[in-house]
Amino acid sequence: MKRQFDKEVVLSVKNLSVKFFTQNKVVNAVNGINYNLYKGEILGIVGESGSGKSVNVLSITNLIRPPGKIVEGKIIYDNKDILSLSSKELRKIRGKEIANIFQDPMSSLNPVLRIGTQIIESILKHTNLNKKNSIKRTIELINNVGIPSAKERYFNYPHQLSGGMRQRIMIAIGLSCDPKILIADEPTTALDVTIQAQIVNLIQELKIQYNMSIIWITHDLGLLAGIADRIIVMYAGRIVEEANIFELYENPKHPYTKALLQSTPDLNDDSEKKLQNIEGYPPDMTQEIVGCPFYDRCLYKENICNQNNPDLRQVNTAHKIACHIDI
Amino acid sequence: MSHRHIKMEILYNINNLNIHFLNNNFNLFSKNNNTNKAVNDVNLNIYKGETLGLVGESGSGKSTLGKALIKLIKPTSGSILYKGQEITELEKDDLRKIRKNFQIIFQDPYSSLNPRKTVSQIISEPFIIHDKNLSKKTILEKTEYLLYLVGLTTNDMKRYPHQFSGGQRQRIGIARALALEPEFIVCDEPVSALDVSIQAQIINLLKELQKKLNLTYLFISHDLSVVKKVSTRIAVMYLGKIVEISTRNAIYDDAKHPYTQALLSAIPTPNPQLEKKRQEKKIILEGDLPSPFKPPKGCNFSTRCFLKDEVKKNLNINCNLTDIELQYTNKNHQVSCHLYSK
Repeated sequence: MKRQFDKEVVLSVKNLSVKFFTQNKVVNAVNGINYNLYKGEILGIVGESGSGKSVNVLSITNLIRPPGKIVEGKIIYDNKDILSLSSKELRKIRGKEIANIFQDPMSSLNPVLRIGTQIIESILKHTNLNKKNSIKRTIELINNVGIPSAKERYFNYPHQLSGGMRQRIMIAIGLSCDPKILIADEPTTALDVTIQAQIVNLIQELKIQYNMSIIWITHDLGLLAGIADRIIVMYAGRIVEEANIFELYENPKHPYTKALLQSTPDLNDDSEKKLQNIEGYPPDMTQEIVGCPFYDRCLYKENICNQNNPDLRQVNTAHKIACHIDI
Repeated sequence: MSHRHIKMEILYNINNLNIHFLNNNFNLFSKNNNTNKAVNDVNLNIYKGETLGLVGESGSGKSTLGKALIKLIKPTSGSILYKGQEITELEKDDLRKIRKNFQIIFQDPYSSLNPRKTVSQIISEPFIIHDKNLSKKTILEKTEYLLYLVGLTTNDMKRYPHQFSGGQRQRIGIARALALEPEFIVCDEPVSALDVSIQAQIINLLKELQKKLNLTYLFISHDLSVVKKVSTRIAVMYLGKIVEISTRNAIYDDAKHPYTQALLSAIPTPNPQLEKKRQEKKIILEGDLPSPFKPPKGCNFSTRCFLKDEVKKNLNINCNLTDIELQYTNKNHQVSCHLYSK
């Protein structure tokens, strides 16, 4: 647990807020979040749809497009604020220092370009390798992500590959310039479980091989249990709990995390008892939320909860929660 | 648990069911067989009042099988007996009469509801089609009762699907399925598109309704941890074939088929201590599901099986040459693997 404090911070998100300005509404997608990513760790970010987890990580490389806008905050990487960089400077970081893998490998690959062309693009752009060596490196990468007969695959088109293989290609593109940080946004959600197991295994191996820090976004708390070092739980655009992995699963302190864990079906649970469900639905993000966003669904709520929105507070060295109540 | 099934009434009796799809884009230059055996020689009983979990990866044929049971797809060959009556050849009026008894709940609550109809129109449509004699008042009463059953209110009746969240829409889909008081419901991945907290609501609702209305479910899912929560028995499908079928506990505690073992091992559990231990002996299958147009020779699973060398060594059987059918290992457990053949 103490280990974390000795660790070097590679990325720091400070007071980030993102809003989407649609025709007649403003959606408060992310509301003032703060966290650090440490060197060599896998940081899991978990939350339900609409909790702001994807918007949060898209902001890291300033990929938010209109009508979305980062209204406040800083992303500190390498002593620089990424959000204040020019697009030219930003391009040097995107893909080279910080790489993204997205959920849907079908729509994130270009269907009319060969696999090899898509991988080699960032190598030619970001490194000094000549064409011949770039091709060699591309084939190495395809091999490295566990695709057999890499030389032939170089000339394949995305539709000739299965979903799992396409995701491996996405990973190869991500790794092509030895990134320091890999952002994996639900990389296995679209895949079958046996393929998910393959991809999880692959990313874990590559993390060590390439010495990266990883931000892994998912809605699946089960999946993170086996891979993450630390976990951030998001709800309604806010961080509600941040803890080391063992702390979070064994001793969840936020009512939302607690309920989420109890509503996750567990393969090793032999009891016949009902899954606990969380009554109600997440709040409307177009409304200004006064008080705690989880108030309506919370089992532990008290009067103070719908008056003040709780700040993220430290409960012990490895654990922060945004809750007024100690449960 | 085991002796209970024998006393149970058989609702569905499925024999040698085949459902083949022809590839329309016939390729002049390809010598490949262009038949997709989506469901390949399936034999299965479904008992009244049970929930049969049907698991498998995408492309394994589980939805096709489910749809055939409620006559949404016509089988290529084989028989489906519903309460002793052959339904594969039924048409028109006879079919309409029997169709009242089975319903389906779809995966995607966004595309399975008509966006131009209000909730009350969606739910009352089955009455209008199947029971023309009902008065408007009775239909309204029935619709209100259905909404109450699935946890919605009468205020929701005039609203349109887009005004609801995914979980609420799934409730509307369930209410529609219950309208004609069916006996049998195919739940085709009913919670896969939902968030975890909402998923639990729907699972609990389905279980409550089953008890209250004495329903039989075929619960199709790729998620073995969800299936465990709802099922009485479980069938595992791979490339159009059922490779293992048994009671729920036997599948989870004593999985025999290497594919079932791999599936179970691939499901993560929300417990980091345990998960670290499990990872050491995790079975990671190589490769992908083979194309159903070109299923492997011999055992379907042989291309990815991690035990085939063992079979070769101990039994001197080549899994990728010798075919294998479902066989009983005890009266409740069937598996198709050479390791258990007698």
